[in-house]
Amino acid sequence: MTEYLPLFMLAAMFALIFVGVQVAFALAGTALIFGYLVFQDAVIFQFMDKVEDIASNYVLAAVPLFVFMGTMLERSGIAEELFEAVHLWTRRLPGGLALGTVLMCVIFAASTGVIGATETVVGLLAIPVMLKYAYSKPLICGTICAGGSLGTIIPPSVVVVVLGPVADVSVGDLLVGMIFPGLIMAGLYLLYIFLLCVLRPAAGPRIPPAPDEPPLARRLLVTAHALLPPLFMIFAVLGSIMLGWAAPTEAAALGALGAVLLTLFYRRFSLAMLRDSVLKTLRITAMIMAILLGGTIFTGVFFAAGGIALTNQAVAYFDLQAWELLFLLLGMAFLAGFVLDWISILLIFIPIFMPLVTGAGFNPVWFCILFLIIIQTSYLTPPLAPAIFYLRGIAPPSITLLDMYKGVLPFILLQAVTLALVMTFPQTVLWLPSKLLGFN
Amino acid sequence: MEGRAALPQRPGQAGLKGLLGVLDRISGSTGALAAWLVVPLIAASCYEVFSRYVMGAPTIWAYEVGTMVMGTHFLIGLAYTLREGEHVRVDLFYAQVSRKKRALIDAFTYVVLLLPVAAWLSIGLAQKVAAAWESQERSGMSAFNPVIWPFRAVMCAAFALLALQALAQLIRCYQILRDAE
Repeated sequence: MTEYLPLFMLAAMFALIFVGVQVAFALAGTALIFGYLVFQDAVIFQFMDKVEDIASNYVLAAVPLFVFMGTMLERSGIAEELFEAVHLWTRRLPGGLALGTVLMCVIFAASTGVIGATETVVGLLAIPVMLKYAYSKPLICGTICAGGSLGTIIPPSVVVVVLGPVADVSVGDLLVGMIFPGLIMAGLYLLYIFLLCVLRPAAGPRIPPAPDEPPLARRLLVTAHALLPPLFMIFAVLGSIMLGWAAPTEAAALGALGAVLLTLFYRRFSLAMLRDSVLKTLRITAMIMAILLGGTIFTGVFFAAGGIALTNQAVAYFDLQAWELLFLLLGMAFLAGFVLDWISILLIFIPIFMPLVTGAGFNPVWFCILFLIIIQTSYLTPPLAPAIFYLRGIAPPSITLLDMYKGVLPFILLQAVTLALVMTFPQTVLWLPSKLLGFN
Repeated sequence: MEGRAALPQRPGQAGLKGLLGVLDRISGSTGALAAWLVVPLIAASCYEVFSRYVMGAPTIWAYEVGTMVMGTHFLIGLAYTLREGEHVRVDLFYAQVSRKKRALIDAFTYVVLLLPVAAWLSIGLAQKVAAAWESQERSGMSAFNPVIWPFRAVMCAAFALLALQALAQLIRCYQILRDAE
């Protein structure tokens, strides 16, 4: 029976998670119980090793830094500035308000590493305006949810900082490799919204020219005032990584400093706000790191108890082709996305997947980006869609849950299209890092 | 709450409430202190970049100090985050059941899963702290090479704090179950 112990361990862990036990504790707890059955008292030494490994991993210091950057930016007032500036240019187009919202999300996502915060800020600004101009409600919901969750796939991204060490892939390669896939996804969103509103003008009616349309010079000034500071931050973080000046953690620290300077620039800085930000940063960081700890401990015991042999047996038994294996793995992650959040999916699946992926001869960086795109869907797929959860918190009652479900559906399909594109053309991921960081 | 106060209190009830308050305050104040560690973390990492490119000489300490600050930050924050109820869970089922059933699920989590892990880790790490103190073991990770026992002591303390907060949460579960009767 002991050879099937890893299977019972997986089953017990999933059962606990679905009952509602905190994910981190479900992982660590099952690891302790099953680890004790196999290794008795020695299990605690493995636990302590994992704790020390994670607590001494410099790359992971980027997690609190990116989270802090996000919480500061959220309060910096930059969203309001960007919103105004972007809409000066897009609002006359078909679906212009929605297009502007996605564009703004891209800029916001490129200057911060977390989602959720972005979505709330953007949603609060954009929903009332789009409702006022009679945009279709599903389109409003889809735009806000999909745009707001771009933070994962547009670098920098906290997800990648955790994914790198867990998958044993360089965080720098991932951050550079995801640039094109992220832009492709955002580009598809824009294209879809534009085409929809051209074909069905009622979905996103054009706004009549206002009598007080500001002159070009004024528009340029507003745009510069709103756009230059975030561009400067994007350069500080991404530029310093791409040029090889700074490790991801150092780049994150520069970005965090930039976010503080930005709140000073827009005169939003106060000690009370800084205090709120550091406390929120700690809560989010500790939550992420707890699951990281639990997941690492869990997979450590899972593998030591024979989990590797078992998964290899299963793969050999089904005699899968490399591509079939790839689809199976991504399919499992997609299904998990209906109920699990990104960090849980990542910690449960990546350690088990990576040996299979490299064994099948796939490029690990490329696979990680595919995985990131799949994780992207987990934000939008009901019943547990964080994006919809955030939206419900800010949407007026006239927008129903059905509008939200209808609204996210096309965007989930667009994510699938992105996945297909990146699968078919691995260069979209691999070309840029090979040019910039000289990896092959 | 007010309605309850009129009921005769069982012995030990006030003591339990007092204990809960003390435990909550411990997690709250250690968490609030740890939260500010992002500031030195930003400062150390930015100074390292500045020192390398502008002064032309990297520091020997920024890497390891940054690592230890990061570790201390999130480890000490685990208990505070538990108090704030921010460790994520899948609440598909959990959100549908009664308050009492939720308290039962939580009590199970703390007694069977979290308390053993946190308590055992903190005891095991305490022994490692003692061993590292005896031998004055150094990290060997960089030229800075600090003695390792202080950081180990932080890890040990962090899991002790987590165990204490788990105890506090358990008291909460007990109160809910008792009130439900």
